[in-house]
Amino acid sequence: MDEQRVITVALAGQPNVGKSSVFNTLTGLNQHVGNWPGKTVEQRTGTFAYNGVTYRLVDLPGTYSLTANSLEEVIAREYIIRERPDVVAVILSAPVLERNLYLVAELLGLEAPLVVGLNMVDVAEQEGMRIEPRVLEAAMGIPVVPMTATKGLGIQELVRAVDEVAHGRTPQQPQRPEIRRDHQEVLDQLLALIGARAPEGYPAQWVALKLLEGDGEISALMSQRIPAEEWAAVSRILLEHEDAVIAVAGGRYEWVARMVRAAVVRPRAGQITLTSQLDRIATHPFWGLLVLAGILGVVFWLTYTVGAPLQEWLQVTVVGGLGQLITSALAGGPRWLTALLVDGVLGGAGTVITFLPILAIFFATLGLLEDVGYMARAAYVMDRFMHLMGMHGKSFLPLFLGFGCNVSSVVGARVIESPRARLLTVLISPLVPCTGRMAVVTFLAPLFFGRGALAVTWGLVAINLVALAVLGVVLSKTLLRGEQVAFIMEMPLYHLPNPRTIAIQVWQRVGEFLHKAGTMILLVSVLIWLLGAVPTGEIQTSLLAAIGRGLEPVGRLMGLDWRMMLALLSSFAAKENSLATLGVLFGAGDSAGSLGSVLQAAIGARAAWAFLVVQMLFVPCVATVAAMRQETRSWGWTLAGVVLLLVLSLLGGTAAYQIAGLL
Amino acid sequence: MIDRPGITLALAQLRPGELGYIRALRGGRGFISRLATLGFTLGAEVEMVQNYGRGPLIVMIRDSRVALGRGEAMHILVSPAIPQVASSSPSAAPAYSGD
Repeated sequence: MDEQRVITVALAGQPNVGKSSVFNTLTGLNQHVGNWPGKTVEQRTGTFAYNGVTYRLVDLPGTYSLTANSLEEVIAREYIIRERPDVVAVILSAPVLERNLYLVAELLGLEAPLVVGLNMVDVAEQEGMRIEPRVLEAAMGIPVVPMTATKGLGIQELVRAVDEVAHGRTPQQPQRPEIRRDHQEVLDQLLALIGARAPEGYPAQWVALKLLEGDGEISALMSQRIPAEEWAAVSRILLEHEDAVIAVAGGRYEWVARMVRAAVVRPRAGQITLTSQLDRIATHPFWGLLVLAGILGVVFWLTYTVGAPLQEWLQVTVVGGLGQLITSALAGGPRWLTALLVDGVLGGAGTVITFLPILAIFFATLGLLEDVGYMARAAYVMDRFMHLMGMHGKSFLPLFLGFGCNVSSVVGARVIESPRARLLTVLISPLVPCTGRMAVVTFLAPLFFGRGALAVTWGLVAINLVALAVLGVVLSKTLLRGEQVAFIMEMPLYHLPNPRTIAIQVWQRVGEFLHKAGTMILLVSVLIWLLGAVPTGEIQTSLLAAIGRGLEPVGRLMGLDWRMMLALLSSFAAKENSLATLGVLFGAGDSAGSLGSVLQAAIGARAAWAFLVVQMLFVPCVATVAAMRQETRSWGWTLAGVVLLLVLSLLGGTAAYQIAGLL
Repeated sequence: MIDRPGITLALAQLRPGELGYIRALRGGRGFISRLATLGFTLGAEVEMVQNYGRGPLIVMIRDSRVALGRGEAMHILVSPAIPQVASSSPSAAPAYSGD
């Protein structure tokens, strides 16, 4: 028995093939989410046991090919080349078999032991397509296991096949794709020039093909290893055959056509599928927008009607209750300790945690929309609007996430291929009004505007969205000018969601959020509390107050006194902190009702309006800034984004105050 | 399959329901590589699914639905086929002819 040995299996596949279903079914909660070393792409690994042997499953990023068109593709192939997993399990989507086999053609070039999981055979049957796994297996010379992962069918069979290959019981005799005959000669020339100089683990034939395909990463690698004059010869050949990329891909698709010829029976033409029927409405330029608006409406309605009361309950009962508990437990202890725990830790990080239900609902509904295949349709109908900002449809999705929390929109920008569009999305996403800011607005607006509160709220949201659009247009025409990246996006087939996959995803996102609240946000809220307590213990005479008074000249332009400026500053820790700060500074006691009347007496409607405009546009909260730093991997761009919003918000507040004065 | 090699159109010019065969891809290597990966290789059969004359469009290639920006679809050249006698076998399309 070889219990001691851990067998490593890499899970490969194109996007939308149900790979995460397979991963989650196999590993359950025995998984670890991190990042690929040095990259911002998420890495998921997990373990499972079979026949007493421990298997380590590594989920490779979903990629259409292994050419360096994206970071994900580089990560996937480098993992296979450098880490040499014992088996690579490729998950294919049966209804889109031909295009999925393209990835198999690429993987065969890497000479890794393969097992094919032919997933979604149920969907293929619904579409009227019949596939013979045994015929396909015989044609390719590698094991093929039919599966319906969402129902758990075929998973055990896949594991058995992986186990057989890992123990060398299934000989691999794959039929490898060949290059088209008209390019064979060039390939041979390149092979001769490369000789034995390909790095260890890189098959020479594969390297030559990647050079022909114009793969930047491999060209850079080989130009280091080949003497200059020989590299010049390589470059000359490549320049003469710039069009080879199509021939190489064509060769792989010829192989695919040979593999499927006997194995697939297609539906008769003209059959109208479920996906085509749904798409008639969902992707229609007019009805599609209505559907999108309706879905967004339901998501917001759910978030606010189910999430908001839960949030309030957590705030009042849990955070408030804990505060009272700490106060009474430490009654005999030092006063500063009570204040640190109650005002610093609970008031800051504790308040942020109360937003958890709202985030969880948001993550769940979005996960559901993604899983059924709708998200690509939303991106599609929004494409023409996003073009105005120098972006395309795919940027809409992360921006939309921002309504829940800007952190998710910054992190969500990962789905965008082009670094330029990704950066642009990260920079403008803090302008999407998040739930934290909306909490401040929903509290203050009724106090000052009575019946007009709803109109003011919508006005504030509109100002933010207009600012976002203008900033997007300006940035894409100035600092971030560049080539429009092509809008090419697969529209997956609609299918039933897998609750397990969505639940695990929500669980992981919530965990990430709690981790952030427990580290970065905690640190900053304690720091702000400290500044408000040093040196006298009274906030009115603290360092924080001194800072606030120093900012008064700026505040005067917007009609804001030092206390309002401080409330604004404290929103840096978490947006909803400005309410807490106002409460402390206006000495209003604890109940919100009395804070309301004190504020009404102390601030005019004009200043309140200006305050709301600034706080809606103000610099992103610390959690968002941390995410921006993580995603851009640059303090320069992160600071640029913060300064940009600082300037924009101060200008906006000043304009709001001065224009309101004219009316 | 009836193929009319003489006529070449931009993919964006096909109307919904019309079929074409890919003749050429124009653009940078990255763009061509991404398209070729998705199955837009020379000779491949492509069907227009949605095209409203402006905005992005949807095509069917190798059994998968792909959304393309109009600009991108202008860079893909196709020769139109007569729809009612369309073949279901893309591998029977004409061979690669070089440049």
